[in-house]
Amino acid sequence: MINIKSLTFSVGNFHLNQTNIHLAKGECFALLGQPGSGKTIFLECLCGLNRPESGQIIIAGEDVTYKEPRKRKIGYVPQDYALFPHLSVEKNIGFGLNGIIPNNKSLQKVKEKADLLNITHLLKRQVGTLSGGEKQRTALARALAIEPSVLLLDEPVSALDENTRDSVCIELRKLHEELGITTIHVSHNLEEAFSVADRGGILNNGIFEQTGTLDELLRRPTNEFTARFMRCGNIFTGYAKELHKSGESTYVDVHNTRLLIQGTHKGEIKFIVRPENIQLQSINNTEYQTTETLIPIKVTRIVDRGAYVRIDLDNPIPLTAHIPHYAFINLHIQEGSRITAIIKPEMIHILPT
Amino acid sequence: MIQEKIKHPMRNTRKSTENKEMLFKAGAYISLSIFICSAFFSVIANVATWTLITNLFLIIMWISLPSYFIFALLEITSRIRSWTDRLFSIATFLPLVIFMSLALFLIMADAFYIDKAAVLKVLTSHFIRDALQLSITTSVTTVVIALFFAIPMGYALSRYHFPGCTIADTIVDLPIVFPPLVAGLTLLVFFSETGFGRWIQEDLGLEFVFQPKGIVLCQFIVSASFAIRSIKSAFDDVDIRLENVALTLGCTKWGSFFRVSLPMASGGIMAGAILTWARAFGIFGPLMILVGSFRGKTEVLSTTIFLEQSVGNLEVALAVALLLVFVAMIALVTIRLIGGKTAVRL
Repeated sequence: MINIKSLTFSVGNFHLNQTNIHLAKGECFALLGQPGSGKTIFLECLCGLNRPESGQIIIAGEDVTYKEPRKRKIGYVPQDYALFPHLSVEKNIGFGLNGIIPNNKSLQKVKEKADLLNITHLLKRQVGTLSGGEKQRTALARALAIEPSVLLLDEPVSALDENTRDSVCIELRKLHEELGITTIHVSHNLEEAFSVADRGGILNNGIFEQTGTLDELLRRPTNEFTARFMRCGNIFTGYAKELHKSGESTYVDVHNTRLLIQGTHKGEIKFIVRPENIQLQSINNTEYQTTETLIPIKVTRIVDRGAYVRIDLDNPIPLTAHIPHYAFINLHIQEGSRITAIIKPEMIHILPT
Repeated sequence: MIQEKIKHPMRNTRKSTENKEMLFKAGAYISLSIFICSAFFSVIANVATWTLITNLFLIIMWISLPSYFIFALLEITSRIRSWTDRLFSIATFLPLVIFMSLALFLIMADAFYIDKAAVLKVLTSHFIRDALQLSITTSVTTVVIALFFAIPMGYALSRYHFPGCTIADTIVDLPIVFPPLVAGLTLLVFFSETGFGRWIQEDLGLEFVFQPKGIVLCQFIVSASFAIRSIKSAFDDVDIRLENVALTLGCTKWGSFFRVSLPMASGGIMAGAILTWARAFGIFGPLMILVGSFRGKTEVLSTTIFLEQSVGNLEVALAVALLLVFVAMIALVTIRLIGGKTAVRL
């Protein structure tokens, strides 16, 4: 549906460099990246507000690289929504329909989109009086009113409070399933990306570090940046020492510790362990399996993060583990205690070199 | 029970503060209205040479003005608790009092100088009526032409970062710092001494020197910059992303300008129009040089004042000046009220 081939665009010191990406029809793609990574510039290239230096943008089989924005049929919801403050909600939604004078057909369509987003009761209101969530719906209705083939949402929920954000994400997902419009959802928030999209890409300094399913990005990153962006701090460089006697896994030395990693490896390797995949048990608990690597370790910091407890460990190896609250209670630990960390071989992901 | 005991005195103090505020506010409005009425009537009584009534109104006037300032200050400070903060409000309010008093003193001094004969002359003289008419038509024409230039120019200066745009911006501001008299001299030199100027006047047949057209030209040169400045900053305030969204919603650049930027900048455009009109209406220096002051042909109110005072008719000159101030005040207040409504709608 959307096919972007070696797209290049520069503004000031920023360069969007040879960007390639492919989106299937009806897909919801999460465009992730830190602030300043070029997400908005990328979207603006897509909807024709920035003229690319080279490359191709193909939407539904048609080359739109040098087409005017108004001829692309792209629904664009910019950050903070950019609603027209001098117009009512109704006029905002109907802005893209048949020019200035409203006719029956356009009014009908405005009503239809307002119904879809449950904002019919707001139609006569001025934009300035709306809440954040209402503004977001209005902006979405305005973009949908032109019956776009592609929807670009630039951080559509980041201006909302946490509770509203969750419910709006669920609604966005539902809406996407219902309408089946190919969507690019820009975000810097992982929970948000997971609740709206299946596939995603991580943009860093104008370059896509990795694209793939969100599960791949999270659990099988191809580089250190992606791993760190997906909030995995446990990134290690180790040396493969000897094969396990089964021949299917390798012992790897890292920070004076020996870990067992699946597969056969040689020399220096880089690998990650997701913090939620580290198991902790008290030091005098002796039940374990032989395939697991047990590391006696010291607790350096405990932070209750609400949904989980973050435990920083060190000595011999600096680790961060996320464990559920009930597990934390059962451990009876405090800062300075010694416990055992268990890292199962299948929970270790090797970064390709 | 305890809670209620605590609540009640608090509620009472809040109520008494509110009452006090209402009192101060009412006091301020009442004394201001008394001041305006008494000033108006004292001027009329003075023209009619009723000395006793004039003096009576004068006394009321000089009591009501200070009391207005005192009430206003009390209203401002009624919610402030500490003395240092109160002192701060007084320090910022005091210059306002001094400036307003000075302006009112000056106008009143003018008003008390004029006499019955002067007022009658202003009201009956058809020359002055013609001058007023010419003043209004030329200044309104100037505003229309100035907006015609200033709206696209303000947009261009606000949106495009072309090479040398800072210099362009400065050149646009130049007429603001130009002494108006110099503008007149420059125009005269341009039309009489340069080939291009002579070509416009003689070959093209567009006569400006000693013609009503010249009035509009002078007014335009010295006042258009105000409109450009104000409209540029109005466009600066319109977020470019709004225009961008309009482009994705099927608008051309023209459409996004007329449907988004222009209505959103309407407050600034109105402000620019007011500034331009006020400057154009009162301008005098360049007119004396470029178009002169021919009775019934190129005489506007500001030049009438000069003509009258130069032949020693100081009373008439001041009466015309008051007429000028009066018309300008009515226009400004009306436009502010209309402009205020559009601002609310935005």
